[in-house]
Amino acid sequence: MSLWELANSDCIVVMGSNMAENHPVGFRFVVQAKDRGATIIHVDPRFTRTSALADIYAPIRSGSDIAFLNGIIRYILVNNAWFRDFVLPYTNIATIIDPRFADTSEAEGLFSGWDEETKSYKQDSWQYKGELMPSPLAEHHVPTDMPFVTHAKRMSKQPHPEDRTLQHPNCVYQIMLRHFDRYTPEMVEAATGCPQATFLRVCESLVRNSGRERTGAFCYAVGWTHHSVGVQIIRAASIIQGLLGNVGRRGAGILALRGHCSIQGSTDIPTLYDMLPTYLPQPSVDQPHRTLKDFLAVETVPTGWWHNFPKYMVSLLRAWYGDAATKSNEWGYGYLPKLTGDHSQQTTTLMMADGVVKGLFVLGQNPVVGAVNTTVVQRGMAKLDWMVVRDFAMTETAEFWKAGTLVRSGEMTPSDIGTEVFYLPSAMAAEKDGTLTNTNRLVQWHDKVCEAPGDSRSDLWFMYHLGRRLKEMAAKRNDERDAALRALTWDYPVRGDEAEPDPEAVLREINGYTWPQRIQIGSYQELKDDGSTACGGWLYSGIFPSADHNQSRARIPDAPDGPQTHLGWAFAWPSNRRELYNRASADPDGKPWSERKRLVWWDEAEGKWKGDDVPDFVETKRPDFRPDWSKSPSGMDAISGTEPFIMIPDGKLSLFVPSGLPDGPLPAHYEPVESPVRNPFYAQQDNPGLKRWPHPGNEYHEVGDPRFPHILTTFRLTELHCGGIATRAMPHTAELQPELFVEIPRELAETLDVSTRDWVVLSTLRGEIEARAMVTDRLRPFAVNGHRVFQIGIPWVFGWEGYARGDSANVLLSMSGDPSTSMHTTKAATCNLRKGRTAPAASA
Amino acid sequence: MSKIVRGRILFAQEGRFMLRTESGTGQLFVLSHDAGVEPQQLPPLQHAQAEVEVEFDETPGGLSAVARAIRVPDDDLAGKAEAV
Amino acid sequence: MQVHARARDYPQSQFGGVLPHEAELTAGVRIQPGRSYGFFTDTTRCIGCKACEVACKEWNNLPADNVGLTGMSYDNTGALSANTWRHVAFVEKIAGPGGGPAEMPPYQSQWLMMSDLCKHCHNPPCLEACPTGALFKTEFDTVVVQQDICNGCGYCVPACPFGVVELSETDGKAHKCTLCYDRLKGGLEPACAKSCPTDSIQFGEIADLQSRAAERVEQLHGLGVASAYLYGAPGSPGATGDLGHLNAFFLLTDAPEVYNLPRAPTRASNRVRPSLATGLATMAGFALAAIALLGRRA
Repeated sequence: MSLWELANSDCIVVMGSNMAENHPVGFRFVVQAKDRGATIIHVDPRFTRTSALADIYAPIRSGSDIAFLNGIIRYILVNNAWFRDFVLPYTNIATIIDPRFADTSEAEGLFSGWDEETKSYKQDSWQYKGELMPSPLAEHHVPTDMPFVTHAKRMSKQPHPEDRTLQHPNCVYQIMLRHFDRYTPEMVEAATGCPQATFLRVCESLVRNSGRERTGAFCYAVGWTHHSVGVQIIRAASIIQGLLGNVGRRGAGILALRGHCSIQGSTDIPTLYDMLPTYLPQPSVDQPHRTLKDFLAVETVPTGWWHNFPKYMVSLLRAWYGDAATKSNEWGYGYLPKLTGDHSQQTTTLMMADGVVKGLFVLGQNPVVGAVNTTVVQRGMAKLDWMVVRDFAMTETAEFWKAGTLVRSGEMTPSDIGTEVFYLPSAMAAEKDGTLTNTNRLVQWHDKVCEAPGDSRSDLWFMYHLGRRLKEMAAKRNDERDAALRALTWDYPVRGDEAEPDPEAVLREINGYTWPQRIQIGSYQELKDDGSTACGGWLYSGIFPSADHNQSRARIPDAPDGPQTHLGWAFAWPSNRRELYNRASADPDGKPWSERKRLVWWDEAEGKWKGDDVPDFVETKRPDFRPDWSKSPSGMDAISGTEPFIMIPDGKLSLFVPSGLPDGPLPAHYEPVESPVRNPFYAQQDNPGLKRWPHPGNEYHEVGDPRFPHILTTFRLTELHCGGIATRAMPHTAELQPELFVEIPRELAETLDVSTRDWVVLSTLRGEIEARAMVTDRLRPFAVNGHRVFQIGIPWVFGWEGYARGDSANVLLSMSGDPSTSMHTTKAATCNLRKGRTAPAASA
Repeated sequence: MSKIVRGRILFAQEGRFMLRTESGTGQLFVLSHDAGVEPQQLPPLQHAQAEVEVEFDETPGGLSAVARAIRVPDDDLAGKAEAV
Repeated sequence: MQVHARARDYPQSQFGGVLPHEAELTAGVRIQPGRSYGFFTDTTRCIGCKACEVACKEWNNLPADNVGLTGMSYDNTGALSANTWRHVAFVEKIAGPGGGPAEMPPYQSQWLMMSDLCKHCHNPPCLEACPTGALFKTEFDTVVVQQDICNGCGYCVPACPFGVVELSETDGKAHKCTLCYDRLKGGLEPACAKSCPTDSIQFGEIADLQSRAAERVEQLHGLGVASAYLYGAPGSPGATGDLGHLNAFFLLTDAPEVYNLPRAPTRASNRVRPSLATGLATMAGFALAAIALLGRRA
């Protein structure tokens, strides 16, 4: 949903986010919702600037989000408060699951299919009865014993098994009743520390603001994703919103509050190691991906919109390899690098520490401050042969070799560190042309307004010229391994004395054009799998629909009394759609659920879907269309007129996810990798799929280790941005938060005889840091499982560079990964706290 | 011991100005009370984009600089004489 | 989310210069000389982001004060000064059993945040005290210190009942918020108001602001925030002692002293006559005592 659409919400839950502090401009729409009578709820371990503007503040200890959300799901189910008219047709609540399926409630906290040897799940018993549903995620192929392709084809053969009376013991509804049964209000209080009465007020507000006339939204950020159960936390929210009918409608949805430095854009045209641009799967040596034919066979979903995948894949290959891509060489598929495992940031860091990775480019990131277990990160950097750092101010990462943790502690001296570090100054946003993609997929063009000083260059300049030089070297070397480099198209025009590549040329390629004529295409519907189109990112098609039309430049807002979707303002992918799955804003007959919440609807006279947004449906598909199963329909022919969720192979919102999530089809509460308490719900303590990487310097303690009794969370501050350096090096922002501090509950401070501004030391198995205490009532002790635990919070954005300085909180945190994303945990850890300062460094 | 920097005034506000230094970065100055330059003399220097030499001290913590003197270097005097 | 009709006149992302009467688009007000302008700061909408502090320093090229970690909640600015013309105060008052809030009144509570600035008094005591005429009332009814006239005597400093204006240690002159005089002349709303994301700081014509503020107080009372009141509107706390009213006035939810504001500020000149009378009376008393004592000895 769009940020401004929040103003149309009747209830907004901010959770896993400190929105007022970290998205202050977006928060204006929350305040506007409040002006229209909305209920604002903030669920958080700390009382923050967001909480101050909320109607309800629900305190939970960090690491207990799923317990809270699952409690809400149970509340909705047992009170029959779900939006039946929406849920029955639009979700898979009635779908029948394989009889072999066993829930966590039956097996000590594990689902059926757990393979102790590989420490992973086989997903056969999670499937729809008699079928295999490919995952809707980038990688559609999933690990099953049954042959994947033949079983997936069954999706085209018959309607999916369901029981609309919801009586069948293995229908999703009944499974959910069993699964969520133990998340009672009492258990929610025991697990999260949130008083039952407050928890119930949250449930009541959400339920009261759902249905035909009212909608609610969730806003989340890294408070949810930086956990070993991050994906499942978001899943729990999706189930809530699915049950309440809060998807695809006005003022409804789940808004992922992404970062400001175009992080959405950087995952779209990606820097995600395991995906090709716009969320296509990347070939892997561990999968049946040897040839393009094999790859397309397993990754092309038989039903739903992803059936078009080959068109996007081949068009991408054409864009990258141009004339070197031919039918006979499978469009250059062999040139693509293949995954050989988990190449995410943390594993790469460990490979650096083990001497496997020799060189590193660090572009606009400050891992010495922002990456967990900074000591191991720096040990890794110290083992590299070379490292290139590009930023617009001197960062801790660039100076790790002379002022970092290792040097300060005396573990190494600068002359021990053989890494050759290159620091290249980079241009800032206002010093270059290009687009920024914001948190609601809106891509806005920005013009350069001033020159960057000296030798500073844009990232586009750097990447282009690096590639150009590598191609020149490859042309001379004639090495087989360089074939992919030689084949790569790299013909962007450059301008001016500095030979800056034309970013509009890049955007035109991302949009896509015909090959070889290079006529811009108007939408991804024009893409083909026969090599006649090239496209750098199918989701962005339509952003540059003709040679001179750059839609990301447009700035036409709706009139004051207009539809408030602002379709004339820039470009939102896909196809300038503002609300995804907006067919769900109309009932099965195509009529809006209510006038108040109308968005798109079926126009019988014109025979198409129309409305205030670009409809997210086949334009002419009638609401009463039903697939003709006798013809084995594929793609969109297998999706009926009442199935809005077209990217999911069965067209329905997945309350239960049969495929693709390595830690389970339903969310279950697991404790963080280090916790002071046992899991109150199951014998299984932590996420069974959790990626653990024991390594010297990255040890984990056992549950309830008395050395580390407090729960620690880390956070950002409004005043200090991203990895910190941009604002710490800038006097006007540095003076606002000039020094590291740690927020301590009053009760804990009293036992330690600590007052505000006293020095304290925090310690974990990874190390120690010092900070000034800020004693506050905004953090509190929690009663968890009958046990009193103190919640402590510390900002992680400080380093030794700039005007605002302090120790880096990431000295304390361990490396571990969420099973789906390999994402680190920064929000729930344990620590000890004592009055005093860290010992002075051993003389170096 | 005061420092010297050369550059052109980007903007001037009351007794404060931002200098675009020779290296291309910006540096903020506040006129000292004994600088011998009055606030109203800054806008003409900025409009003329005259190259100036600023003698300054840094304040403790280095967050801003106090301009002790502003001079127009000899090589730039022709054509800019009316500025100071 | 009310988009101004004029916004549709600018369909491209690139402009040749400043938009004419930009304040119409951003604040709904066309700025004209001869009318009275100021701020209504509704603290119940403030999220303490300090965009106002930064925008002010950026626009006015003010150096950082860098007072360091104060320990006063998230307020590391401390107070208004010669270099700080917007200052966000933070007051933690977390209520509820066990240190946590249960029922929370709508809009801001538990943690007060308030962006302080020069009040631009209707009858400004600083202006009255200024011997050189550096301080004057502009054509927008705001109060400005002319830097090229100020001689640094410092009489304005004790005259201000709010502790706003201060002499700079560097250039020796008096400095305070200009209500972005230069921006007003160019048809732009002040930098702080433009940057405030939640419309806590509202710029406009005084009469409009005062009526809007009165409605807001009524709305809040209706929503259960009985403690909401205006500070600096005619007849309210802060608009006392012949100050008239404050062009920069506030909506508060606790006593003025909690926000470090005086409950009943006055013009310094109100105290001149009684001070003079007291002083003369005291001198007369000393004189009589002296005559009595010395007379006796003689």
